[in-house]
Amino acid sequence: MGHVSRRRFLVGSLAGTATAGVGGAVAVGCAASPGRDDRATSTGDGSATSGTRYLPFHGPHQTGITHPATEQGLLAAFTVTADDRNELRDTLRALSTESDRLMSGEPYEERSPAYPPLHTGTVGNPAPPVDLSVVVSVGASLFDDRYGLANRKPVALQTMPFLTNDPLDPERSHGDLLLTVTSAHEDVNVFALRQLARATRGTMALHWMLDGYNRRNRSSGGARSPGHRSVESSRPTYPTTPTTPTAR
Amino acid sequence: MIAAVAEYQAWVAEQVAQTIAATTTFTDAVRAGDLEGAKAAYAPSRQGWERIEPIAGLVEEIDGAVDARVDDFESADDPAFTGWHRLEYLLWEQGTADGGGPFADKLDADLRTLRTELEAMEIPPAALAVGSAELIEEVSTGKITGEEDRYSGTDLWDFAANVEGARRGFELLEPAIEAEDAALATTIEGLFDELEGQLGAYRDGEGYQPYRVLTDDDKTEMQTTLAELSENLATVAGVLGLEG
Repeated sequence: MGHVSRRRFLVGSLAGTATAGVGGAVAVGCAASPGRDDRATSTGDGSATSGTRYLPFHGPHQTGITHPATEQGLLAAFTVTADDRNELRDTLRALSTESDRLMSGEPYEERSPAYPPLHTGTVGNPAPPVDLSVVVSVGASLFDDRYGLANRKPVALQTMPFLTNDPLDPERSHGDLLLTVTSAHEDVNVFALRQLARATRGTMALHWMLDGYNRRNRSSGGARSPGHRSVESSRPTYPTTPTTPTAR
Repeated sequence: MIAAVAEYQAWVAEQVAQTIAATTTFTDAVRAGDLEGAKAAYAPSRQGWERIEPIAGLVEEIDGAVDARVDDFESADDPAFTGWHRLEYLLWEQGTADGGGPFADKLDADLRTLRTELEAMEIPPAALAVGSAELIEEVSTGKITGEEDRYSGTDLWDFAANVEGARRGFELLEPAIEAEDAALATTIEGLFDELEGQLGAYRDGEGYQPYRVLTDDDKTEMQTTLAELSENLATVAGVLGLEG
C-alpha cells in the first residue's frame, strides 16, 4: 500500500508495451533491484542479480527487461539503411542470432589467420558470464514509409518533440533502432556492442552512444543510484529501489 | 594467381605514369602562379594515386610525403607537412599559389621516387585481396567523414578512384574466388555496382560535386554499403588461402 514511485510505474507500463523505445529517452526496464544481500535474496520475480551468469536470449520477454538491474549499461542508437522490409527482417534476424550467441556464451570459431577474426578478442572467447543482456527497441522513425510499418506503429510511440528550455541535440537524439546492452562489466558491454554492430554493418549505422552505471549505494540499504560517465548527454534514469526493506 | 599479380603490377605502373603526367599539369600551374588552373588540376592529379593507394602505401615514406593530412603535424606550418594536401591548403585555405613552388617540386620528385620503388617491388598476391579490403574499410570509417580533402572538398573524386582501384584488384582475383565461392563473388560485384550507383548520383562532368553537397542520408547509405563491401572483401584472402 505504499507510494508507487513514478519511475516504477513507468517501468511497469513500458515493459508492458512491446519494448518500444522512444527516441531520445529510454527507461531501461527492470524488476525491483535487490537489496544489499542480493546474492541470498530473491526479488519478486524470483531471480537475484549475481552478475556471474550467462542469460537466455529467448523467452516471453526480452531478458534485459525482466532481469534485475546490472551494474553497467550502454545505449546505442542506429540509423537503419536496409533497402526494404526483407533487408530489415534479415537485420533483425542478425541481431537476434548475435545476441543469442553473446548472451549464451557461445564461443566464436577461430579461423585461419588469412581471415579477419570473428570477434575483437578483447574479453576472451567467449566473453565471461556477467549477466549480459541485449535489448532491442525501435524508434518512431522506423514506422515511416520505408518498410511498410506505418499501420503497426504503437499509438504512444512518438518522436521526442521539441521541449521548451531543453532543446534536443540531433546528434544525440532519436534513432530507428536502439540497443541496450547491460551486464556487470563495461568491457563486455562494449565487446557485445562491437559484435552486434559488425553483424549489421551493411544495414545499420551508429547514430549515438551513451554509457552509464547503477552504483550500489550502501548507505541507503543497497538502493542503486544511477549515474553516467558520458559528459555529453543527459542520462536516462534507471529505476531505483524503494528504501523500505525487501521481504526475504 | 601469378598471372593476376603480373597484370595488377602492370596496371599499377600505368596508374603511376598517369599520376606523374597529371600531377605535372598541377605542379606546372602552381609554379606559374595560376591559381584557378592549379585548383582545377588538383583532383584529377590524384586519381591514379587513389586507385593504387594500398600498393602505393607500401612505400611508406613517400605516402607520408605526398598524401599526409595536417592532423599528422603540429600545424600547417610544420615544414614536414608537404605534398598534395599542403598545396591544397595553400590554394584553397590561403587562396594563393605563391610560395607553392618548392612544394610542387618536391611532389614531382617524390612521385618519381615512388615509380622507382614500385618498379622494384614484388607485390605479394595477398596484397591484391587485403589491399582492396583495407582501402574500402578506410573509406567506410575514415574518409567518409570528408577528412581527406577538407580544404578543396574534392573527396568524392578520391572515393570514386578508391572504389575503382579496389574493384580492379578484386576483378583480377575474381576467377579464383568464383572457383571457391561463387556466391561471394556475386555479392561483391553487386555491392560495387551499388556503390558506383550511389557515387554516380553526385557526378559533375568529368568529376564529382563537392563533399559538402553529400546529404546525411546519402552519406549514411554510402557508409553502410562500403561497410558491407569491406566485410565481404575482407574474407577474400581467407577464401583463397592467401596469408601475409
